Amino acid sequence: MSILEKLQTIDRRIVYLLLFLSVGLALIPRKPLPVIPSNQARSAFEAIENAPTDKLVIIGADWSASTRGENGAQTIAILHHLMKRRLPFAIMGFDPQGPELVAAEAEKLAKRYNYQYGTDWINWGFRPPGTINATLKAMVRGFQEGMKQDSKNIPLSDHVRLPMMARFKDINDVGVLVVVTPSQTFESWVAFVQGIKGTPLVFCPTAVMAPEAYQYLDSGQMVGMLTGLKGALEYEGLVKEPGRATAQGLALSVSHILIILLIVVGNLGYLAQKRRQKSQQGVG
Amino acid sequence: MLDFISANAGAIQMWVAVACTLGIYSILYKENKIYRFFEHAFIGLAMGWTIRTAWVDVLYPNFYQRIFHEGRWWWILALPLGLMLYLIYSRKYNWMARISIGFLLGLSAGQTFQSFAGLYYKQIVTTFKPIVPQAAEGSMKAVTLSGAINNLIFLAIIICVMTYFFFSFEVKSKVVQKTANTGRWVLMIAFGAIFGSTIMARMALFISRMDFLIKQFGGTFVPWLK
Repeated sequence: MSILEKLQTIDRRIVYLLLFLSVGLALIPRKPLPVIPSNQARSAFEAIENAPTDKLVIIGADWSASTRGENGAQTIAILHHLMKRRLPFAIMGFDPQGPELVAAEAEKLAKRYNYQYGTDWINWGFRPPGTINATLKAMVRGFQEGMKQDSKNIPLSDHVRLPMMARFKDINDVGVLVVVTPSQTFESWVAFVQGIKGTPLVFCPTAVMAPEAYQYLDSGQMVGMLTGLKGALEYEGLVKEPGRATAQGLALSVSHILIILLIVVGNLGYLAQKRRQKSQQGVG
Repeated sequence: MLDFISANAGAIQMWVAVACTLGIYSILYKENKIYRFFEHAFIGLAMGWTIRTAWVDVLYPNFYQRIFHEGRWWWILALPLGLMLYLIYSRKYNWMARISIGFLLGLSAGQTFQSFAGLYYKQIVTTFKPIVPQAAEGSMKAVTLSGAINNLIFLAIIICVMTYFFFSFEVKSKVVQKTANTGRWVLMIAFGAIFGSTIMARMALFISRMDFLIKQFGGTFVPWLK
């Protein structure tokens, strides 16, 4: 077996080590790569940029700590934009960890932008995923009927502690829907919320989920999309708030180059093996 | 002891997070007990958090509080319907389980139909795209030459892919065979794009942990790493 043929069977631990080193080194430089935002990221930005300030933005936080690397960065970039524009927002989710993770990020940023809980933003909390369709349908008819209380068990009818809920009653008061999820829950949001009044929906999936969503962009059921970490990186550039994704952009590109190189190397080995087998057959 | 923990909560949290990250990544070298320990700890924590959230956000406010504090005792009638599902294990009384199952099936079927309509009707309508350039007229938008070419490619791909999925009869026509073969190629390219996106997603998650290890953790000892 020649050296070229051996390239097909590189020990996986060597591949992991190469990845570890290349990503580790690429994280150290501070200068970010220039980024050209994609059309779908720009459309997502415009949807929030043009949202009326007297309407509510609902953030569907259906992600957990396992996809924080992508969904966390997207959420922070979106939160920056919402708070810069002083758009009121409500967080809810069908993953037990999602609303709490988003609320934790919102609390951090709230200090900087002087956002008050109950007045400018609210956390409606977690609802069981098995009830997603029924909950969303009820929510569309009326927030009080559909959600009843926030994550701190304050009734939405308590307008002293939650004054913002006196202004927002149902889907007619919603300006934009932002769905951040690595799962299929976005389909319920499209079918049972977006489709009712044609409310603009911005989708923030993990990169795995993104290819399945393009037809929704084409049909206008979604107005914009942030594709995984790349989408977050583009959005940070548009909002002019370089953060986690911007710092990781170079490492993402380096990891892609490494994977492409490994594919090329593996195929070179395959071609060498094929050539050797052919020449052996010729001799035989 | 408690004072020490509360005074150093941030540092302890970071060291635990580093141990968890390295423990989970130790599987990349080989199967080991440290990995198994952290894997089980993670599953246990996630399950514990789920149970806590189910009680705090769902069961307590929506059932316990409603029934015992607000006096809506009739909400308890949902309980026998739920318990009846367990009678599926009884030969004598499993007919009772079917009542609850029938109720759930009816509900799900109705919602699925509504969901299908909400998801796909608009997509079917937007599949009909103009393939000839035209000026704006009434509610119709203008179609440029490049837009018309795009729409033509879109239409050709739809026809090719749908032809590939004609499985119910034997295809003898060469034209249909070639069209179906093109559809197969297009599908393979789409699967390749999906796989590429999957790699990007996995890399992003890995980079996020590396960022934590190098910048947040390493940066506490070597400031220029931050």
